[in-house]
Amino acid sequence: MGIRHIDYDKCTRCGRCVTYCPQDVLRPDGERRPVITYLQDCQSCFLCEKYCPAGAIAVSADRERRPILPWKI
Amino acid sequence: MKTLQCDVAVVGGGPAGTFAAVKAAENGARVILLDKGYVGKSGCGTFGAGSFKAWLREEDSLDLWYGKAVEEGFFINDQDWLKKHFDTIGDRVKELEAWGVTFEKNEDGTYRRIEGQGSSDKRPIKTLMFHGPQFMEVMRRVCREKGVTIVDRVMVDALLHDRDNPRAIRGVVGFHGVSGEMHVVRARAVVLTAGAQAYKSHYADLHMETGDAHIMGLEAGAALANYEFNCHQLTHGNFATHGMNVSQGLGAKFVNALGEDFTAKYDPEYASHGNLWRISASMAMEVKFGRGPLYFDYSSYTPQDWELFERTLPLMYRSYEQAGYVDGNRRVIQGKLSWVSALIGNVGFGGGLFIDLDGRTTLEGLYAAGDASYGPTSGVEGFCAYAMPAASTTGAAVGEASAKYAATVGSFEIDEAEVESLTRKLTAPLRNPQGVDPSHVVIAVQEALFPYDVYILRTEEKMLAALKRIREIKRHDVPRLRALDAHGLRFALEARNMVLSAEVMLAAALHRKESRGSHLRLDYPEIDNENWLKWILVELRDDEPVLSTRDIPIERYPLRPEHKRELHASIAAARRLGEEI
Repeated sequence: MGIRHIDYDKCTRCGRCVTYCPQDVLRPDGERRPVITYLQDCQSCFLCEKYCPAGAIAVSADRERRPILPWKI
Repeated sequence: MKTLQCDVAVVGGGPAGTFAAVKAAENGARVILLDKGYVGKSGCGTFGAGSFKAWLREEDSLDLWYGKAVEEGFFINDQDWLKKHFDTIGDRVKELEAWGVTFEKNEDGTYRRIEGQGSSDKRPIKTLMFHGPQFMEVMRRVCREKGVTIVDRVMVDALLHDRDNPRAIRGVVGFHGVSGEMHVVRARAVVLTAGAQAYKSHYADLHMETGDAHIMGLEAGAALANYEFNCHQLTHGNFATHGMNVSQGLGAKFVNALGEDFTAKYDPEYASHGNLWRISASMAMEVKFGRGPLYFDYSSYTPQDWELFERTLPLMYRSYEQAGYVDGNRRVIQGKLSWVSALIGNVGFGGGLFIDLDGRTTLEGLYAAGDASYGPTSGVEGFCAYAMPAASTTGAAVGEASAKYAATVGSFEIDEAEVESLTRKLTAPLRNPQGVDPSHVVIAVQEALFPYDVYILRTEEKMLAALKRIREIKRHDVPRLRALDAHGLRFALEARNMVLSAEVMLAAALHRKESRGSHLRLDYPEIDNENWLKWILVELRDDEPVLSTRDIPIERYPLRPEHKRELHASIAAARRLGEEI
């Protein structure tokens, strides 16, 4: 799960999401649009969504893989 | 390859690193600050939940704050550092405000402070509130204004020695996470602030905290300390959550599988507002005694509660809504959410590089602050002097000390053969495209460390089994880690650092044959102040951790425990309840 959608109609290609991502999940394509390149490393921290000035990004809290837990839930 | 030169190289751009860089620059040093992310948006400081526990001379009792810091630090604090922290934290708060960091204020201009985790009616501890990421945005700007050269997206993972002095550090080696270009920085002094080891925990926003500073320091010859002490967080089992204080304030409570509110049984003074490790221990006991799993219960929430919750924690609210726990009319659909403890390594306090009162490690020219250090102000979990406030005071002190030291270093040489061998070592995963996926190593480490009977309710038997598994991973998987590009190289090295930290943590925890705070051993259930007022130091010899102890100079500290053994409070409470433990 993690980052799930970038609305390219809204995206202004400002590059903030690419620059800010602590996990280097996003990379710009030839036209400076952010591409979800390394989804497995997304930690659902929501920084990209929070700092997108166009409201073009949606992140899910669910992680890319099931977490290892201390006991059965 | 890019070669840079400076007086002080700072690795890690969180609160400790930016403070160190600014103070080193103010003291006349040419400073380069490197971070594997983007300074101002990297590290866990960016995600600070708004609480900044600073002691304020004008408002607070020093006896209360100092006393609690030592009591909850379980006398493992370096009380000289603790005094230095309280002496300087007021100056740091004033500086932060002058630079533009916003702290919540009342209409009359006084600080608006709240009581959070670890505060009780009898002994209230009030915390300043800041506005999350704004803190680090200000720190990036101040670095620039003071002339610090910022190098973003370069992961440093090795240290360079003085060619003529194998016990002195004179630079760092790293690579750019996008271009892959190697970076060598020659420096008269190096400050490590690249955070804690959080084992890519299930808890929120810590996946970049992979003990990089600890492991590169250890491998260069420096000593780690306090690695047996760990921070525990509490979170939803399905996804990471935060804002527990707000949730509790509106009436959510911890319950066991029988629906009983259990926290007060184990901790009458603080109950569900106690130290996180203490609640974590209570949860693990309930599971052990067959009353798990545990829940955080929102069933009492009214639409008005959810409205306030949504305003304070909009992302959390949206996650709950997406998961179907609350409906469009703000009514509870599923109130009881599975809640778990999460090991977050040494974030905020606990293990790291052993430092003296100047922040110098056991190597000349190598300094550490914040979570990269062994948490001298906070000991086990002295949260009156930990996390971001401690990062600020230790970072500032170390910045000044490293600049003054750098000014005494004349011309020096680094060893080109060492640059070459470290470059080869760092880039090894790139030559292994068919090798082991770093995700496998991360999951394997978590499977070994994350069971509650390994990190919460500890025994020699379980820890030895975990250590055996970690050593197997170290021997078989680490040499075969793969990376397909520069991005992947970062994640391969992070996985490697996790394995080495896990080995040190288990070795130190096995060595400490007593219980103390979050280090709770069922086979040694007593806090042993006769024999264990010691720091455990870990160094590396022939790639294996070697342990020694150093006596805490408790006799010359203002606060000392009674010279005796006593049962750990969590065990004592369980026994009072009639449990066999």
